[in-house]
Amino acid sequence: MYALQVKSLSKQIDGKQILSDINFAVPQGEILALVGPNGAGKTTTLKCIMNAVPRDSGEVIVFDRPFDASLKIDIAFVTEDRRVFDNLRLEDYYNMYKTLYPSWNDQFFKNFLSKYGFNLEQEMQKLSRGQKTIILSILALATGAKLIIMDEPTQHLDPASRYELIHLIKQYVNEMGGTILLSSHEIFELEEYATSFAIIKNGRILYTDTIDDAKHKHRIVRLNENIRNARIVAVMEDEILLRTQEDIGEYPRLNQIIVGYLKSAEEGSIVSDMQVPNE
Amino acid sequence: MGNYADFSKRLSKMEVYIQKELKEKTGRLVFLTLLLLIPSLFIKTIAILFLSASLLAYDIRHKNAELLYLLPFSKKELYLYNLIFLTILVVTTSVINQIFIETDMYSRLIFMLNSLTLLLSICGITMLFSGLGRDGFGWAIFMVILDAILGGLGSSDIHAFNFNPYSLISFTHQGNAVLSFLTSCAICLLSYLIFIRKGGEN
Repeated sequence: MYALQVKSLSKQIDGKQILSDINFAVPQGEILALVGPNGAGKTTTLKCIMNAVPRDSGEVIVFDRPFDASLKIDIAFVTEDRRVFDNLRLEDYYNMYKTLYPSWNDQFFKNFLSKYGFNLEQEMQKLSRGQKTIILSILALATGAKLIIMDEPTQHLDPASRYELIHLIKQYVNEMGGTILLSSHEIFELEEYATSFAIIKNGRILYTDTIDDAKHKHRIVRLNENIRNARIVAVMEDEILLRTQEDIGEYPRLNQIIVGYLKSAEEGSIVSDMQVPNE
Repeated sequence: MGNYADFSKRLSKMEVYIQKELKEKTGRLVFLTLLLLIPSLFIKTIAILFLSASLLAYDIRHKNAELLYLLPFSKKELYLYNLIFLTILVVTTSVINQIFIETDMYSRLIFMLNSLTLLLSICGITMLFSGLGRDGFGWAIFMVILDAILGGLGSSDIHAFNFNPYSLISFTHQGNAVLSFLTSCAICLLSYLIFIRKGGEN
């Protein structure tokens, strides 16, 4: 079962095509990372899913139901800019989230509050960007929502906090059965926590698959190696990323696949191996 | 039981929204509420103009509304909570006004109706243009001035030679309290429908 399916999502802003026919799906209980360079359309995609930015066309299915605002009690969102309401204290946020999300986990929230030494009287806007990242992530995880959308969750975090947050994300999925869709351009850490990924560039999905399957479907070979029954995805310095299941070369790392597709001359073609089921 | 639970849930959500507005915009809300206490429709018009532009319309203009849209609020709910909050402020201050004025019950009700007419029109116009992605505050000022000019032409007396039918429904002139109130309700309803349609909700 899919927690989220995005079908043919398109969006224009001020006459510019920001998203074009975006398709991907997040299976329940998994972590899908939407990866791509700055300005690729990651944040707009995430906001369109929540209808914070109205979509021009396309469909968003959440837990097998077409998206509507009543489903938002099962979806928590952490914004990229970590913007917060002015003059609101942490206690106001706590009360707000506790009221708005029926599955709120008070114990979870309070445990982390004391662990990080946060004070409920603290004004949210006066926290550092890193502190806001942590507190907004903890608020999202404490909602008990079945799907959490996080825009660049590890940005602005020191290594210890980053490690802690990645641990929390994995715990939320593995122990609480939740699903996470996150965006990131930090491709080197993705393998630590993501189970699948979608590469986005210029508002188009170039490739989407599980990490394991993507590695099995690609090989890295040297420039002078003999290539047969393979499609060249990209030439990267003295190596070539191939799409093949022939037993040649080496299995690529995730970051090599991502960089390969981003560099690909065929970036206009959409390659999707995670099927989005038709209703 | 189900209906009661649903109503109670909506009430709690509205409380969350109103508390957020009160804490975020305390200074200007206090100042404008004090202005509303002055028993003059002209002052009330100015106060409502600024109040309407200070709540949800302000958040939309400053791209803060996205924070609300990412929480479990629908755009319909936000529009209605915004309108209910403004109505509470306008009605409460109008009641307080009237306590200190010696007049009959009919005049008191008409004053209340006049205040509500102003609110529904101005809030409706502000939200209508905000929903269309325009400057709701700027357009509301323009429409108030335009309405005052058009409504002030001629007479609202149906037998007068210079009878101006628009003055009957004008929300600033209010030649006929009931007709202008009904027109304001229509403006507000239109604004609601456009706001939710443009916001991607059915």
